[in-house]
Parts: sequence; C-alpha cells; structure tokens
Amino acid sequence: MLRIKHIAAGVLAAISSIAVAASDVYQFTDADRDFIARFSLSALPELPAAPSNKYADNEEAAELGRMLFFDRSLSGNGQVSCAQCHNPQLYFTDGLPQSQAIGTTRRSAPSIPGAIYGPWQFWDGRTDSLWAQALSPMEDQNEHGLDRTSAAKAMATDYREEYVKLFGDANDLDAVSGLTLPASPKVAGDAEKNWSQLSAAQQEAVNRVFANMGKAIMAYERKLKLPPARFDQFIDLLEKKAGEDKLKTVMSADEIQGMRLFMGKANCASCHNGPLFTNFEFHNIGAPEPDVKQVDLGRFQGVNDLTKNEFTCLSPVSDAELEQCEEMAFLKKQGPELVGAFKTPSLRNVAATAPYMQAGQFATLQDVVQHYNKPKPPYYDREQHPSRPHFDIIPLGLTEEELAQLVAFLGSLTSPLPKDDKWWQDPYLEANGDSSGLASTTK
Amino acid sequence: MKHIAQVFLLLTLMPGVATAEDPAQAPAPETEISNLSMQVASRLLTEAQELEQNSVNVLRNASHIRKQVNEMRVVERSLKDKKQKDSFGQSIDMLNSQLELWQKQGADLRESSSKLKNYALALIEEGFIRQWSDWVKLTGPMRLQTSHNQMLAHNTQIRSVHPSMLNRMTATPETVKPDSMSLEIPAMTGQQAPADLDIRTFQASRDLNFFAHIEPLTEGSPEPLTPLNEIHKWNFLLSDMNGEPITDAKIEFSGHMPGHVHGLPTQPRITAESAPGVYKVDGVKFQMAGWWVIQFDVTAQGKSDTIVFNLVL
Repeated sequence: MLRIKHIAAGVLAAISSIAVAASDVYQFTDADRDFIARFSLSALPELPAAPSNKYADNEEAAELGRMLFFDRSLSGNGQVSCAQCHNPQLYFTDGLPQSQAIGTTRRSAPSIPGAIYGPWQFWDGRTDSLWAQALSPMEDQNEHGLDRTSAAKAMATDYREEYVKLFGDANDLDAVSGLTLPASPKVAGDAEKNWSQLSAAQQEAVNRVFANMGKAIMAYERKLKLPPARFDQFIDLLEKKAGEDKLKTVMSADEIQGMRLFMGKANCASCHNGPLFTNFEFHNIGAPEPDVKQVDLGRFQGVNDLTKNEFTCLSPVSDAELEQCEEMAFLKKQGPELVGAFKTPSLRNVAATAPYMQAGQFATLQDVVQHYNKPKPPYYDREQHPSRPHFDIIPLGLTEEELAQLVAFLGSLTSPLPKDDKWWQDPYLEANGDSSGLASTTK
Repeated sequence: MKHIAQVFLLLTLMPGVATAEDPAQAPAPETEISNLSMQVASRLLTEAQELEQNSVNVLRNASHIRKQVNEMRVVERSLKDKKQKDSFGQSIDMLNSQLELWQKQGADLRESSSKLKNYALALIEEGFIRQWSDWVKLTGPMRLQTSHNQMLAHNTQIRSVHPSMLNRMTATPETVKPDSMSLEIPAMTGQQAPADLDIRTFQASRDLNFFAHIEPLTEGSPEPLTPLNEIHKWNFLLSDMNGEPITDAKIEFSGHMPGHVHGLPTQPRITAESAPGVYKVDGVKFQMAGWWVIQFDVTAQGKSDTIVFNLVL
C-alpha cells in the first residue's frame, strides 16, 4: 500500500514537472511578475527607524563606526576586529561553522547586510538593536576578549577627537580615562569584582561611552548596501518585458525551475520571503543539535536574555522614549514555539556564505536542501528542554533533480562584491596604501 | 433602517417575544431607540439560545432512537421464525420513520435558532453603532493595509508538528496555482476560513453577558485599516447586552491562527480604559495574512465570559 502511494506520488510529481515544460520556463504572467517583484532588492523599504540610536543615520558616526569595525586593537590580544568574523570579502561572515577569535564561539557568524532590517539580532534575537548586538562580542572572552572599561578607555584614547565631535561630551571620557583596572559586570572573576567597586557615576560613564561605541558601529553597518544579484537583474528584465533570449543571459532554465520550486512546491518562500528572503521570525526546523550535552534553546533563551539585557531600547543609554520601545514592551515571553527556534536567516549571498545553520551543522547547500526534503524532528531531552520543541517543517518530496535546481536558484542570489563601495573596505588598508580593495583578515 | 424593518417582521413572527416595548409606539430620542432595540434584540438572542438548546435535545433524542434501531436490527437478524421476523421488522421501520422526523425537527430548530441569532446580532450591532457613534469608526470587517513594500509574511505552510503526528511527517506541502499565474505559491492549507465564517467586528460574548466591538486605531479611508508586520493599537469597546458601558473590566487578550499552532508574534495587552467601556489594546502585530481568531476573556460585574472575533486579513 505504501509502495503504491509512493509510486502514485512519483507519477504526480512527474506530471507536475511536465506542467512547466522546458520551453515554458521563461514564460511569466503579469501576476507572476508582481509576485516575484516583491523579492527584488529594489522593493526593499527604507531602513527601519532606530529610535534607540539617534546617531543611526549620522554620517560621522558611520565613519567612526567603520574605523571601530576594522580596529584590531579593540581586543584582548590586539588581533581581533569585528571584521575577523564578519569579513566583507565573505559578505561579512567567516566561512566557519563556529567562529574563531580569541576562542571558539558557540554559533556561526551571520552576514550583516541582510540583518539590518530585522527587529532582533543574533540567531536567538537576544538583543533588540544592532548597537547592542555590536557590544556583546566585545565582552565575550571567546571573541574580542575585552572588558567594558577597557573598551571605553580605548574610545577615550584612540578616538577621543571623533568621540567629542560626535557625542559632544568629554566628561565621560575623562571619567573613563581615570579608571585603571579592567572592569565589567559580564566578565567573571576580577573584572566583575572591580566593576562592583566602581561608583554608580563611574559605571554610568563607562556604559555611556561603551554604548556610543555600539551606536557608531550600527551607523556604519546601516551603510552596507547589497548590489543587485543576478536574480534582481532578472526581475528588472521581467518588468521590462524582455524576451527569452535576454532572460537566458541572466538566469539558466535550471535556476528558474529552482525559483519556481522555491516559491511553490519547496515551500521556501513561506518564511524566506521579501527582498531579503526572511520574515525575521523564529522557527525550529530541526537542524541537528550541535551539542546534545548542552542543547541550544534558541529563542527561548534569547527572550530570557533580552529581559535581563542591560542594553536594549528600554535602557538608560537608549535614545528612545519608553513608548517607542514597542517590541520590548510587548515581547512574547511564552509559548512552546520559542524552544529551539532560531531566526530565519536572509538567503541573500547564501551560496557564498557556507556553512549553514546556527552552528554550521551543514557544510553545503546540498546538505541543507536534503534536510528540508527529509527532515528529522528536533532533538529532545526531557532534562534540558523546558518542553518538547515544536517542529515547523514537513517533508518536501522533491526529486534529486529538483533539489539540484533549488540549489542552482540560490546561487542567483549572490550579489557581486561592491569593489568601489568604501563601506565594504578596510580603512586601515586604505591608509597603508593597499590598493587591493577589499579587506583582508590576514593583514 | 433595514434592520429596524427586520425587527418588526420578527416581532410579528415571534409572538412569544412581542411583549417587548415597541420602538415605533413612543417616538423617543435616538439613543433611547437604540437602547430599546438592543433590549429587544438581546431577548431575541436569549430566545435563539433556548432554541439552540432545544435542537440539541431533539438531536440527542434522535441519536438515542438510532441506537435503538440498530440494536433492534441485530435482534431481528437472530430471529428464526419468518412471521415473527417480519412483524418485528415492521416495528423497526416505524421507529425508523420516527427517527427521520426527530432529525428533521432538530435540524429545523437549529436553523431557526441560527436565523434568529443572526437577526438579533444584526439588530444589536445597529443599536450599538448608534449608541457608540463617537467611537465606532469601523463598521465592516477588519481589512489589511496594502503596501507596495510589505514583506510577504506568508508562512502559510509552517505549522508546529509533534513528531508523534506521523501523518504530518508523510504529507508534503500544498501549493496553489492561481489562474493568472504560471507560478505555484504556498497554499493557505488548514487556514482556509469557511465561506460563512462570521467576521463581524461586533460580537456578543459566549454566555450573552457582554457585547463588544474591536477596531484598529489607524488611519484609513473610509475606514481604519490594519497594518501587517507593524505593532499597532486597537480600541475594544465593551458594553452589556443593552449597550451600556462595562467599566473596570479585567480583560485578557489572546490570538492564534487555526491550523497553525503559533500565536501572535507579540504579547498584546490592555493598557488603558480611555473612557467608560473603551479599552485600549496595545502591542497588536500580525506577521501574516490569513484567518486569525482573537479572544477576549472578560471579567466584570461578577461575571466571566469570552468574546471571540474571527478576522480574515
């Protein structure tokens, strides 16, 4: 009976693939065009308002943020900049399953240009802004390995002029400069003890300088624009009603079949939608548990961390009025769907940003589509999970050929690296007269 | 006007409830009329609920008879004597014809009850809109703002699946291919709202203790429209069945999509009572279009009751 069912399914699949025969692959109706156009980079809305960072769209802040982003001295060993794991040449990722900085991180470094539109940052959304996101790795001993006071002191010494010009206050810098011991509420050991011995005024000064550092980095990140990928060019041509000959020069028949699957039978567009191919929501797709001894609770933990996070829209260092912090005020804190759920990543440049999933569990896109085609339910450990994780996907029943077409389509989402865009370039290389253009992590 | 005509029709059709004050007899100010019509209507609603209960009783009887018929058929088959068998068979047929009558009566009762209920609700709605005219900006169903730049926010196929639900683990996603398209797109599986779904923004509570209306506090022409993927506010207008404001109510808000285990992406709540019976709901956000069920659990004046709104966005 089961076999008959499978044969029947196979026949059905064969019929439906005949439905869009090879010669019709390039034929699109007006309604098709309207539908696909919603995925074009040109449909990207303006950058979302950032009430918690009044410098978000400040040019000077972006310039300062660019210097900070590529500054390797902002680390415990003088070797780690943000660009270490967010390398522009790799679309601001590092090509590793788990990032290597001073130590090894738990999760994979996500790309930045696709993330600046979402309300939450990190795989589990444990911060509500890019500026707060940028601060967290500074104090992580596996990443930059700094403490909060040392980071603030670097601002006071290395960036004093820019800081005063932009944020208009030297008092905080003076207060910070006078501190001698490494101190942070988030770094266990001496630093934590030292932090508790600072006066409230000193702590506040450090927090303000530290937060401004994040705000400048955020202003920089908002400058990262993606040039149109082949897929976007294809949509342009479709909108101009270009002929098949023209369309063929931009996307192959297999890639278009893959796009048709992506929007339909493979169900990818359910969550990977809009110009950035993400709904910015949290889902559990049952990717293999990277470490069964210490399961990753994803959004469940992220929400928990958010409510304790010192740097959110609601904090004293935020520029927002309380009523502007709506996402925090109405944060969803309960629901079994939070357990083991991770943020839908953007699929922009996905073919150039392997490996995949929150800890790089899948090395290739082939592995990824195989998982979606025949998913296994999420790992469940009664001892570690607060409740059985939900599972948000169902098998796709795609053939090997269809899976290959899907992967081919994903390749069309890669933007060319913008060689003339200064925001994608390491300012320190520029200063050294290096004309190779894009930043290198091995400088 | 149409509804007022309906109530006259109803009052003549339903002698049992025609004892209510006839609004046409004493020309009263606008609010008084709406108040009166709401009073009549809420009695109709009670009547409708009693009819509904009657239909349940009748249908229960019918199913009891059906069980008996089935048992008698078993006995009939075991009878050896032909004459005895025939006569027993005749009794069963007679009982069976009774069964059909009971079933028909039950169905008829249910239909009248639902008709009456709809008339009553329409009448209450009419009265409510007049009585709350300062507040009611939306009289039709909730509709989505359409924006060129909006994200798809589709998620239709995504549902939470318990691994024990094996059928879910063999089924593959469903898609639709609209006539105008060569592309297949995700189908709204399991979320297809029934065609006759009541999507009014005016609803009575389950036990007829309260009547309420919802609307988004947004711009829109001619009526307010609901944004997608954006946190926004609603007004929740709460009255008793005569349209009088219910103040100081304790209200719990929840929402979900049928056929989709996930709820809303935020945790909305009542943040203020801005005027008697006018409650502000803040933090509402829809991450996708489709069928949403919104529930208000209300405790006020010593009563607890639930009001449910269906939205098809």
